[in-house]
Amino acid sequence: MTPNVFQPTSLGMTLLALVFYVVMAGFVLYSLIAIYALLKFGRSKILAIIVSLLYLIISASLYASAVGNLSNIKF
Amino acid sequence: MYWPKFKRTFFPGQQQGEEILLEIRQHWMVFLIKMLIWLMFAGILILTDWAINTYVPLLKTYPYIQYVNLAKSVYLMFLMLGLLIMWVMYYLNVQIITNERIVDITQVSLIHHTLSELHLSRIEDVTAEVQGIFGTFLDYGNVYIQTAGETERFKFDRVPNPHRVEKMILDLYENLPPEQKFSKAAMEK
Repeated sequence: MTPNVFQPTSLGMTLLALVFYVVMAGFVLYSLIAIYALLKFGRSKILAIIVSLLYLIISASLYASAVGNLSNIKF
Repeated sequence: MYWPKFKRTFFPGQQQGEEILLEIRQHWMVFLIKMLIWLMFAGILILTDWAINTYVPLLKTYPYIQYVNLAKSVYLMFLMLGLLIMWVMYYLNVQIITNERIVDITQVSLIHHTLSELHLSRIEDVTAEVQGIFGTFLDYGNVYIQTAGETERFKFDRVPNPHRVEKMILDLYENLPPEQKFSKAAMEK
């Protein structure tokens, strides 16, 4: 059984995937900076960890959904 | 004497034996107003669905629906990121009053963090300012602390109970030993 990995099959798909992953890289960068700031400067570490975990779970779900939507696009 | 809230926690640079008397951040109404703006952006998603159904039903058909779904997913991710950043900025902006000094921790942006300290003996003047409908009814506003030095005055931005905070700071100053109190006349000599 092959895993459901996104494979671009045309130039349009490649460009779309490139734009998508660049945007995702920006998203991940900003998320990590926000979580780092929260964990470093937040007074309550427990609250910071809970919020960070909650955010990571929600983000991971949304990311999976976005990748699924990207995979469904056929040129 | 009114002590609004006592808390025994720690902050960077806290001295030994220094007791935190008050920890305040912006009033919840300030955060709520930002949340309402965030909700407006979230409402764009619902509006988009409505607009597509009403005006461009073509976008509901294959293959366009795939692009719309992808755009909505990415938009939702950034919406959640916006909410996280908004809350982090609200949470990290905090003012602390201890029995020795006033500490203003400001998170200007995610990568710009400032920590200002003012010893109670350097206080010259404290002003509380309440303005606006929400500020008047919910009792929040600015507190300005004029220092003896040439540095600009401290500002507590839209904090709850500004008059009580002002009184607390003045009481703390009054309770200082006389030799610690800053004298403007002595400075001018």
